[in-house]
Amino acid sequence: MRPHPFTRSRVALAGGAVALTLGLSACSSGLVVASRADRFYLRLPSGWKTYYKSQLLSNPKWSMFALNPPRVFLAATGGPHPNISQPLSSSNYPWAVFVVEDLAGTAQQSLTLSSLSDVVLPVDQLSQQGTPVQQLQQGQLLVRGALRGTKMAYEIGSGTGGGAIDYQQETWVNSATDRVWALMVGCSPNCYKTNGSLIGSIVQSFYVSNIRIG
Amino acid sequence: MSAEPARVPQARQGAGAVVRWSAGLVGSVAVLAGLLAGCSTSATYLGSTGQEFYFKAPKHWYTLSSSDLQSIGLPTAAQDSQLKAQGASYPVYATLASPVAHLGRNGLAGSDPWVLGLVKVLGSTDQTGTSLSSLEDEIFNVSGASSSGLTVKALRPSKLVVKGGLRGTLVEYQLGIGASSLAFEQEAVMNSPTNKVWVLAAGCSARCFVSHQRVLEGIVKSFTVTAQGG
Repeated sequence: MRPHPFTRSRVALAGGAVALTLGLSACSSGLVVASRADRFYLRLPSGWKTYYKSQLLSNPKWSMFALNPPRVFLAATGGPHPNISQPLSSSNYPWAVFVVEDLAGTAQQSLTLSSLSDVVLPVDQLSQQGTPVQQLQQGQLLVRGALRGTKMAYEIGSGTGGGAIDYQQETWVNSATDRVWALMVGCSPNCYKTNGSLIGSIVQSFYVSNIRIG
Repeated sequence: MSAEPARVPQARQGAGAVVRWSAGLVGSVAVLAGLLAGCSTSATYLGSTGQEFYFKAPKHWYTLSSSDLQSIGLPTAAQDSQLKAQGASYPVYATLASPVAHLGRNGLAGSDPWVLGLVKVLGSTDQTGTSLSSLEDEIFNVSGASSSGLTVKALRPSKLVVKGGLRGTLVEYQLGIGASSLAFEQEAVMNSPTNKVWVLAAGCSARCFVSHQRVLEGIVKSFTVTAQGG
């Protein structure tokens, strides 16, 4: 089990009444994205360009999220010429997309461990519509106290035809099934092979607290 | 003493809801009831310490036999072994109690109230596919009944139940109309890994349910799962 990162980052995060805190951790390099109120922590490589909810929702690429905007919505990308369209694309540089969503009604009632894969990208729907979907590694069930989740890796689209996306996704949901946290990290298939270690380390840094902090 | 298949809603068949009824399970009920018998209360504690749950039934109620369970459409132990071997969901505990020693010909839709406790281990398909809404189908196939034309009436809005790592629903339904209808209240919870479900349902015919509603709701209210859930 991973160490409790809220403790490590206490100094960096203390005093922040804002929902989302970004800052450089004193302990090691990287950009810490964390929120006490929303009970998550993750670390992105230093130098990555981050895009926030308001920026993303006003961009046509991300309009699919505008109808029901996530509670927290963040995208980030590395590379020499980052732009807001790179995350969730077949970019040659790794990117990350992170959402925290509140669930209610049918979404809350019908959520299953299987459907956690569909929180950011509707993988199941894409597959049914004929988009090639390949599972890159065996899915893992995650349990931390009252939280449950899954860790998956997919290739969406045709790897040979270009435009395919390879990514890892870790998704958590609380016991009441009224909140989900999802982190996707990926890029093009070639980039994914080259940057597997970096992508794995970003996902590995992702932590959702089982208990309310602060 | 069998239920009327055409009129009486049957317990859910197959991988969805099955019951293993063994001497060991009966024994655990008896042990628990016996241990608590000295506590001069107006209720009998039923359940299983091994399966980490209990509930309180009125003191004069009987624990019914395996033939009663089978007569209301619950599969046999042999079928359960097959399910387990196939990696499907299978029951690890079931108990049925009622104020009468044998349910009448209308079975669960008869004029005698009953309570059914069920603990089920979920196979991999059910583990990844079970949602809060599908918990209402653990004993009676409520969603299937509706789509097959049987009148389904929610007697109260579904209520979300969250106890630490356990999550579930409290529902109350009437299936069918008229003399052959069945009414029941059910609380079902599952754990964080979603590999185990605890269900308690209490009911009888719609008319009987109205008469015994306070008792039946009291039984369901006493349903306690002691498992941590995480």
